[in-house]
Amino acid sequence: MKQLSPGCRNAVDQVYTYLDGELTWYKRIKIRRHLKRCNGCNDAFSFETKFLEVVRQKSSDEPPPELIDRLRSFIREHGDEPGAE
Amino acid sequence: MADRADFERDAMQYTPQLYSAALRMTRNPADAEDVLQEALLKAYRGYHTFQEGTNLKAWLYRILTNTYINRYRKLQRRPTEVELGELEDLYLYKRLNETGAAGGAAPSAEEQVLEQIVDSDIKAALEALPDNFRLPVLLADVEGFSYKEIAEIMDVPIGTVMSRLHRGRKALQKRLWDLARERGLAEPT
Repeated sequence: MKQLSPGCRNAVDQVYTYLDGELTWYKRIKIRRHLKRCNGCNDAFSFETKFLEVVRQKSSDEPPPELIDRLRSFIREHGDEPGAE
Repeated sequence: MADRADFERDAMQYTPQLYSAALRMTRNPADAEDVLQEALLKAYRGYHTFQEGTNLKAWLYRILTNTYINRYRKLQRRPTEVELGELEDLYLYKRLNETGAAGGAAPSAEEQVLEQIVDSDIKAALEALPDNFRLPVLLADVEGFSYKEIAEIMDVPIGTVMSRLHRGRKALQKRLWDLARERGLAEPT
């Protein structure tokens, strides 16, 4: 992957827009076609897919157990106070 | 006056997700609770302005994001693209691949390194990003919003969302690369 071919360059430049599903169908098909022919880019795209998946899976926290109830009570108590918007 | 039952049923179902996002924004549970409480109160009081049939989840995240920004004023509206420096494409993949750190020829060895990274390192790496980059990454990669939705939530052009999101991901990979080496996950074998 030292000197990228124009096809590889095009794919790498758009890796995230492609994976995010934000490309027009024409650009999308062009990249999909390239990935079928190019193992290097295909592996890289597969890695980036995995990377986004791992970030999503490993970055959430559960709220403390009593938080939801506490917030509900807070809204019930203060939500309709006079002077509220 | 908002209908409380509707609000509790429709809007408050997102509270756990909103809490998790608030935690990544503020980086600590006490502040996350404060921001979330203030955001929910604003949402409840403004619920009559919410247009039914539009995106309730995005509307709530917009209120949460604005509450966080107003409260902490950390997110400057000036360009800060410089602060991450130059970042290569495929930052983490190239390093794992080139150094053979992932254990050589095994298929998808690089992806196996990703799986070994623990949750707390992912969270720490996310929280280390500057606000301008952290918010788009959080909204796209954790919450699953589209570029257009993020642009509306953050009130910035789509082009700005794209460039910050992509740069933010590369910066995240750089941080994860450093952490992986500290943890000995990426030692050459």
